[in-house]
Amino acid sequence: MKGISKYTTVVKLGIQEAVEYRIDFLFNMINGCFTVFIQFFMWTAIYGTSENDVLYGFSYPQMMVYIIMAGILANVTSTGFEYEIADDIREGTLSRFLVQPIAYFPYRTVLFLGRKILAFVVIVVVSAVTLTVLHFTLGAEFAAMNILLTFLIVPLSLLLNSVIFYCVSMAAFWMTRAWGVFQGMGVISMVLSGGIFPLDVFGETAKSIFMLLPFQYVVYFPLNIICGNMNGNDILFGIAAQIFWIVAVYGLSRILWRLGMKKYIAAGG
Amino acid sequence: MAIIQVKDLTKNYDYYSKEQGLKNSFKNVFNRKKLIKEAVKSISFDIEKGEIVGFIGPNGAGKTTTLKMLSGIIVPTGGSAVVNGFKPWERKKQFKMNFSIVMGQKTQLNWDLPALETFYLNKHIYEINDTEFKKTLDGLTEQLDVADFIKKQVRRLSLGERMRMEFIAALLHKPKVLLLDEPTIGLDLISQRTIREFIRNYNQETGSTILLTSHYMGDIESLCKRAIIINEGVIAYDGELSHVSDTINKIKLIKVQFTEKVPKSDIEKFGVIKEYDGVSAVIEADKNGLKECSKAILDTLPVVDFNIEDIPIEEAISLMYEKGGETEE
Repeated sequence: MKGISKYTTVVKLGIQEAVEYRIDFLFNMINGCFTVFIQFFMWTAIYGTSENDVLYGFSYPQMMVYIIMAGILANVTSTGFEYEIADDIREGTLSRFLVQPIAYFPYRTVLFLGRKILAFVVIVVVSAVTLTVLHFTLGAEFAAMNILLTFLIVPLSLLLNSVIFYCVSMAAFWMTRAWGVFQGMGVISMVLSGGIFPLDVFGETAKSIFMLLPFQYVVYFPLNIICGNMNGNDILFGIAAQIFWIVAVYGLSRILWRLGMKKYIAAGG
Repeated sequence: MAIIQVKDLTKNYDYYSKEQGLKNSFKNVFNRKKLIKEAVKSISFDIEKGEIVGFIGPNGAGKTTTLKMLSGIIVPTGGSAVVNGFKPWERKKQFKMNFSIVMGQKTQLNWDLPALETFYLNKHIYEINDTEFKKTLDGLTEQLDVADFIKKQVRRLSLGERMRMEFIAALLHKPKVLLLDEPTIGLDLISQRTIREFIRNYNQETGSTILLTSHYMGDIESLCKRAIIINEGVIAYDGELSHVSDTINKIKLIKVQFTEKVPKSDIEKFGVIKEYDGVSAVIEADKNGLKECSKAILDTLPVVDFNIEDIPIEEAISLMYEKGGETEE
């Protein structure tokens, strides 16, 4: 039990940091809203001029649900700790974790989850309001069961995105300045996860490739459940794939970590 | 058996060199010259339980590299080290539980939160029980006189205050072996003294073993009986500190600035001139006649600024080498 208590303490630290920087969190939310606004006007225009009611397999109300929820979900799953990890590696602050009886990966992950708890609570409330509004204004239909399922799956999405970006952070062992890599990966994962629009928009071929990658399980998969595009088997398969990817990417990160440690020189002094 | 045993410890770093200029930057993209720097070359020493040993040397001598190997942060290229019964770089939990390192230029505190939060985190990391934690924390905060700051965001602390917090964070689990890398760097005299006194008391009360590097001879002189001098990756001296201080203190540097140009010949009689540019000079003077010499300089020359300093460690080392033949048996 004693081994666990160090990580629960880290969770609490994460929550405290989030509270300390609540204004930053608020602005992040507002930033997210802008992207959604732009999308809202764009898709309204597209559906308005189109002769079909259903585009890329989404009706207008479904598309609205998708883009709004994607904005929210992309926001809640976004990491940002890759810059901190790179700093730890570059500045040598990583040394602390080699000297103390605490492992770096669980520390980072748990701290990240702690920081997100507050965001998660806010987002559940915001989503509930949004979905209710969409239901009454556009007549979007949701199965209560699907919504419930999504919120059980979102923590897995969060974990998956955090292992992906933990892996990406390992680039800092080889590159003193890895910001370009992080920003590039940020954009790639945003698009490939379906965080901007449904993957269907990219066409069948591209979609079938993207579906083989881990990114889609971060946003596209949970949102398809909410939109009601998935049956029971698809969902079970998706959850299994999500767990598979978490384990696989985690495994990759361990390998990268071990290789990286050989390069680590604990700079300074 | 010695608590720290170091035998033929060696560390090489790879690095790349680049000639000055844009052209060479492009050249380096395709063809980088890989070079090897021998930071530490086959050093050996033992440290007994309860000792405080000063680890001295100029910048880049290999002090920090050695400390990093002894704490398990980096893996040596060759040789062996046993600290408290463990190879540090195997990073065994039992080793970590009895070990700590404080680096003056690094922090283990969370800058966004008060230091108290880091202390609590360390409490859990090192599995310290509540009563023990409270007792140790109270003791340390009282000795370092920081009760007022432990609830203040670390970002807002002064360097002196923060260093004291680093010590608390590093000592909560009562490490048997403590490495200190430049713990007083950049601190004012009062903070330096507080930290020195604290280290001395801590060593006496707990019997912990301390290996300390510092740029300030004052730190080393007030804390250590024994000194290990390292220069260019090899051990230049290992023994009584008094030998070292005698050598270092035998000669002092007098730095003077004049209001007007003073001919070289007027200064020469006071001692060996190390630097001279007409309106300022650095004079090497024997410690024994320092008082008379200073007085004479102040009386006879038009002095505006006057300073007495230790000779740099690099010079002390070469001096030790010179007289090494006669004093070492």
